[in-house]
Formats: sequence, C-alpha cells, structure tokens
Amino acid sequence: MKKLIRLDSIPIPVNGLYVKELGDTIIILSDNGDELHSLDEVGGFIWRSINGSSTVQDIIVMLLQEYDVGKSQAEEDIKNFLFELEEKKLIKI
Amino acid sequence: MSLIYFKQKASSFKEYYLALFRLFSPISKLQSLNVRCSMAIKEKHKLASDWLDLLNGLIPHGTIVELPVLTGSMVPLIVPGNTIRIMALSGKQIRRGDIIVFREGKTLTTHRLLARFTLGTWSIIYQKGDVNRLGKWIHTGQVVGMVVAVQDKNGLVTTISNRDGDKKARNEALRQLALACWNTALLFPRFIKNKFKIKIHEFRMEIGDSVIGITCPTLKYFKYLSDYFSVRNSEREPDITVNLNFIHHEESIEIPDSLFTTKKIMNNNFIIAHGLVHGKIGPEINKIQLWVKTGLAHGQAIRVFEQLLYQIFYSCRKIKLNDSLLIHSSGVIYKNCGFLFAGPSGSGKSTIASLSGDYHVLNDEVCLIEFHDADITLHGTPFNGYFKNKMSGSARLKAIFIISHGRVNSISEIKRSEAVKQLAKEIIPPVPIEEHLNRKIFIDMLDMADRLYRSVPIYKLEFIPDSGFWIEIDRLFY
Repeated sequence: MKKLIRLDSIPIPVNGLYVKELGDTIIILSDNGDELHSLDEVGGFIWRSINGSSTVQDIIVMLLQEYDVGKSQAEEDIKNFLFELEEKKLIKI
Repeated sequence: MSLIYFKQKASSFKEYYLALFRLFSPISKLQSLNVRCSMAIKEKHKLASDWLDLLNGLIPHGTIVELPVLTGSMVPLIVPGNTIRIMALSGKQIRRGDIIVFREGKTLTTHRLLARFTLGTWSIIYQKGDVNRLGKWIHTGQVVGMVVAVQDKNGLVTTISNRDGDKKARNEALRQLALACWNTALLFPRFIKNKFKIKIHEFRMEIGDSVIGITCPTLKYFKYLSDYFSVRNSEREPDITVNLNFIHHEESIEIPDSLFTTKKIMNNNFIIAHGLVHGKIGPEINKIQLWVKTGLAHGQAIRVFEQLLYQIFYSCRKIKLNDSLLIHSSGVIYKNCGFLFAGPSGSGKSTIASLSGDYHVLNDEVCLIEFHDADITLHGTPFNGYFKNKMSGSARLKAIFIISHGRVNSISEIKRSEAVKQLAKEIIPPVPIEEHLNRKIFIDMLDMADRLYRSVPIYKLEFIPDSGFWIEIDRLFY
C-alpha cells in the first residue's frame, strides 16, 4: 500500500547522505554507502527544493513556476517521486 | 631448564619465584628469605637452602640433593614437575652424555653435556637442552653437579647415569651434537644473507612512482610471479616491502570475486576471505607480512591475487602521499600522448589493445593515473589482461574514452554526470591493505572521477573491431 503523502507535510533529507552535484545531475550516496542514486534535472530540482522548511505544496508551486506542466500532473509526479525517495531512505516525511 | 626451590605448580609459581629471585639473589639476604618463608612448611626451607648451597658449591661432592624442575628443555627425559636427584661434583668428573647441572649467573640449569674442549687447565664444555636447537659453550667450572635420577609425579624413580658405560646416553649426546651442528649450519646461509643484504627471492615492482618489494618464499614462486608480472627489477629502493608466504592446503578453496569486501581487520592484522589471506603490518608501517593459500596464486585465481597488490599499491600511495589512482582500462601512447579507454569487462579493453598493435600499448587491464600540479600522466602497470605485448612507459594523458562495442566507429560527447558515474565504476577502490572498504572510499572514487572530468576531455567511443577508431581519434585531436 502506498503511503499517502499529504500536501502540508514537510520532507526532510536524512542525515549522513553524500550529495554531489555534477552539472544538472545530482548523485546521492546512501548513508551506509551501499547504493548510489542519480537524479536527473527535474529530480535534482525537486531535491534542491527539499530544504526542511518547504512543504509538499510549496515544492509543487516552485515546480509549476519553473516547468511547463499541468498542476495535477505535477502533484502526481512529485508525490510519486517523494514516495520513492522515502522508500530509498533518502528523505523523511 | 631452571631448577626451583619450591615444589609447586610451575604456572602459578613461576612469577612468584621470579619475584623472589630478584629480591634474594644476593646470598647475604638468605636470612630474610628464610624469614619470609617461615610461614611455609619446613620442606621449603630445605629446598631453598639446598638450592642455594648447590648454586654456591657448598654441597660436599658425592652428596645427592633433590630439587624440583620448572621448565621443559629436557623433555621427554625430564618433564616439568619432576624431581631430580643431583649428585654434587666438580666439572672434571663429568663425561659426554651426562645430564649436568650448572650455574649461570644466579640460576641453575640442567642440560646435556655434548662435547668438551680442554687446553691445559682451561676447559670448556658444550651443553644443550634436548629440545633446544642450539647449545652453548660454558666454562667447566660452572658445573655444580650431575643428574643421577629423575622422580616423576607418581614417585617412580628412573636412574640416569652413564657411569657404568651406558652407551645409550653417549649415543644420545652424539645425536644431539650432530643436531646442533646441523642447526648451526642452517644458520649460516641466513647469516650470510643478512650480512650482505642479498635478498635472493626479492623482486621490485614499479608502479608509476611507487616501488613494491616482494620477497617470495622460494625460487619457484619468485620465478613464477616475476614472470607473470613481467617485472624488470627496479633499481630504486622499495617504498613498501611485502614478505610473501604461501600456505599449502589439501582442500579445494573458494576464490571470491573481491578481496576488497571480505576483509576483516584487527589492530595490525587482517584476514581476507575467511583466511584465504592473512596479513600483518609491521613492525614499520611499510612492512607487510602476507600468508596466502596457494590456491590463490595459481591458474585464473591469480587475477584475484592481483587485487592484493592493488591494495598494497594504495598503502604505498598513502605512505608517499601520492595523488594517483588505478583504473580498469586500456592505455595506449599515440603520438606521444596517453589515451585511456575505460569500461567494464566485456566492453572491449583488450580488443582496443589488440587493435592498437602499431602503437605503444601500456596495458589492457589496469592503468595508473598520476595527478601532478600541471598535468596528468598515464602509466602502464605490471598487472595483466589478455594482451601479451604490453610495454612499460608513461605519457601525458590526452583524453579518456568510455568504450562500448558499436555498429560504427563513433566518438560522441558525454554528459558530466554520465562520465563521472562510468569512470567512478572503473576506478579501483583506493583502499590501503590495512583499511576497510567504506563509504568514504566511494565518495573518493566519485571525486576522483569528477576531477578527471574537469581536467581531461572525456568522450564516449563506440567501435567496431577494426583499427578505424584511431582515424576518428586522429580527426578529433590532430
């Protein structure tokens, strides 16, 4: 069952991640060093928006300003993406 | 074998005995010894005084004293815990084969007399414990007595004497003497070797700026390994020396893919792959002792054995504070410039090397990259792929290609993130042999890859198995 991600919840990056920006791509090494994750341009944009104070709603608004995408589409994509990040233990919601 | 003056369990008593000994070695303190011992039973007094009398030659010749035995240098004849009967006599009365008791400083020792050398009134004897490798010459005057009988724990007394022409004891003395001679002879080559610092089975492996000295246990291994790595002996002193030992084994062993991930470290020791390799650092940081099961050095397994050398190289790099990395790649010098072709196994590194036969092929498996202030140099390494005609050398690194088999020869740009990820995967983890593979190492690998990206042009090369890709490279750079 997918955990419901609420719009007012605040995603926070977990401690101890190694994050390296390579151009428009972001590489994240998990805390235990077992997995290397790579985020593309849009993923990287969302990752940079996760700063511990922005809510999911805020991130959606920021994405809409930056990219030409429909609101419901953006909301759906961001929720899926955040869910995936949480599943990979890169953020806490 | 030292004699003790209390009959007690050796293990618990030894320290007490040694402490007492330090306190009471001057004879004038005999009185205080007796006072201290007054709590103990009378027998102890007797033993202590017998022992001291014997040491000081106060026992009349011909008298027999009984003393317990602490150590096992005369096993199996005399076992620790036995009581020996010693007849006090002078050194002149003893013969070859006798078990003699002599003093050495403030101790009494019981060993076998093997030989005697007399010059006028001056006389020395050669004595040795039956289990000792080598004996020692002592002055005959040091002899205080001779063992005539041994009493075991059960009270059984065995007479030891060759007074009545006991041939057995004399033969044993000759056998022990031969043994001592043989052991002395064995010391000789080592003495000469140390004296002239000839390390017969050592080869020096040069990897860029670093030199690894490897000492092999036998000529066979020396030849095998130095041939395998086609070592041209370096004239430079080794930065790190490895004393390689091989452990023979009957059972078949499993060779893991990685000697990086299966390492366990305890202080200065490490164990890799559940005992496939044991190692020890020390006494200096640049001395490594390795015990390797022979299975790892033969056949295809030697490719895994190479991983040990990668780690030793990184230890060396750490000592020398070198800025360098080993990378799975094929390296070629073309028009005096270094070109690196990196990719996972199967991507065509050896194919690239075999198609570059007209040029200077450094290696088709592992190359070394050294960072200097101004530029980056590419070096060959002794490590082996499939290409047979590799040459040593180095050149300024001109470009890196991430290779894959394709339908045409084509060179294309590669995104930074892609280049870094692909390159990082091919960098051999910079783990010194004395350290664990950890997360920081992965970060280092990514940083190194990114640094390469920022310093050297990196392209993607798809190639078909003909040397046409060099035309593409030529077109790009010249």
